Amino acid sequence: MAVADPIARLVKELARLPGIGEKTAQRLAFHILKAGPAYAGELAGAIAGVVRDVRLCSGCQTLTDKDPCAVCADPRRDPRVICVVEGVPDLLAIERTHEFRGRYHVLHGALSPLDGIGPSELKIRELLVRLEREPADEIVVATNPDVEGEATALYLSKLLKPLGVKVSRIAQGIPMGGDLEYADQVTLARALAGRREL
Amino acid sequence: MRGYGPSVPDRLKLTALVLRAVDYGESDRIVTLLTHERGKVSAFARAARASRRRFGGALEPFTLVAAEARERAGSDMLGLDSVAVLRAHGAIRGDLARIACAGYASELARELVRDHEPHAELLALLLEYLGALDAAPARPAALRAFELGALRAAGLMPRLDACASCGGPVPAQGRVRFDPAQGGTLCPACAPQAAPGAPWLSAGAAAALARLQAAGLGGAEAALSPAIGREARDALAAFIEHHLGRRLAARRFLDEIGPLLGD
Repeated sequence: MAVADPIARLVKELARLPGIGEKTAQRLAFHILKAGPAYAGELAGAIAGVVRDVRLCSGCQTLTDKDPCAVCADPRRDPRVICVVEGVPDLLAIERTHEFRGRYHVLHGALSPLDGIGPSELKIRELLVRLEREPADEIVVATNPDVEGEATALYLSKLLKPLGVKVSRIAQGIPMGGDLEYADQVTLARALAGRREL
Repeated sequence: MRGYGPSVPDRLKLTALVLRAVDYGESDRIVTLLTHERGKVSAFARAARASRRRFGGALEPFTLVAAEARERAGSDMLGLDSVAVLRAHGAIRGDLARIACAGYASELARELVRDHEPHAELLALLLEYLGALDAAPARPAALRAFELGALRAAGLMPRLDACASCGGPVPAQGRVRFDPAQGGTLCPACAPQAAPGAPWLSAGAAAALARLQAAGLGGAEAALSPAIGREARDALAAFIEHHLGRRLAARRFLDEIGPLLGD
């Protein structure tokens, strides 16, 4: 590369990030260079800090800098209801609703028959250990409504129902403000199958 | 009259089964399709995740769609413009065993064919198998029949009714050597030539596989006994692994959750 070695090194490291190609890496590298040493120091500190300080909550397996995390440590949250999600962004999305007052469990993925991702690669064993320690009344499975999410929900149901815990699944179908005319057949069929009495 | 502007790529109309969908970037998806017209193709579905109106749930694996796509300059990948669901196979998604078997069948089909080579027989077989899974619970005998049919469609049919090496008869009782490298069962005279580690099959398991091969998916009604089912499963897994050069990811998944499903 016809640039100074430190720039080439930064470009090479940035290009290892997901979704970042060579050209984008170059653009980011020149932006960092142009922004000056203060910004570069803050960026480097933030990257080092996130790796140093963030760990998994021993209760719900979410990413946190304090163990237990804020939700697990909150006495106002109902420990008898646990919402199982695939990832931390899903937990944040549910928190934004302000509707759920239970606790969470983050699987860090979903079962994927097509990618060979089995139960041993998710935080399922941790969920079982947690339920032994702190029994729950209900497990709400909030995995995505795709093949992987459905497989995960079905697996958890098979695993947890024999323990005597209620296992529920978040509803699926037409989104609020949606338009039936534009709904695809798969979504509409699922909404009809999951209809409820008024 | 020929225009002077940039040429507009021809719109392709495809009947396509979604084998796999992988998220790409912020909102796009790359799907692997097994099409009637062009065989296995990859297609880029722009904004597939951001806009539920554009593709909705139609790009989920196991869905048969009527797709409109176009060639993309400088790329083997098609650009996907629209899809309409022809058959969703929705009941598969409500049963873990069916999901696991459909995922395995889809991956096997994907790995057995090259890109851009139409395989009408394999597509028809996969649709028949997914249709069966959509209608009724997964059965090991049907999955074995699918494997045998898919291998036949790909030109890799194992020989099970006679010796794969000399064509002589194989024992009707006792044990039979099954050598993936030589293409099937071996008679007692040829058995010593089998590759090290080639599995042994009971004659009953070899006969059951031969029956499934002859009868096809439609004739795979009778259940296999648990012992013969395990032998048949492991023999075909070894055969497929030998010819593909690796263990399928979906096979690993089936192996891991099998005990929970009673397999």
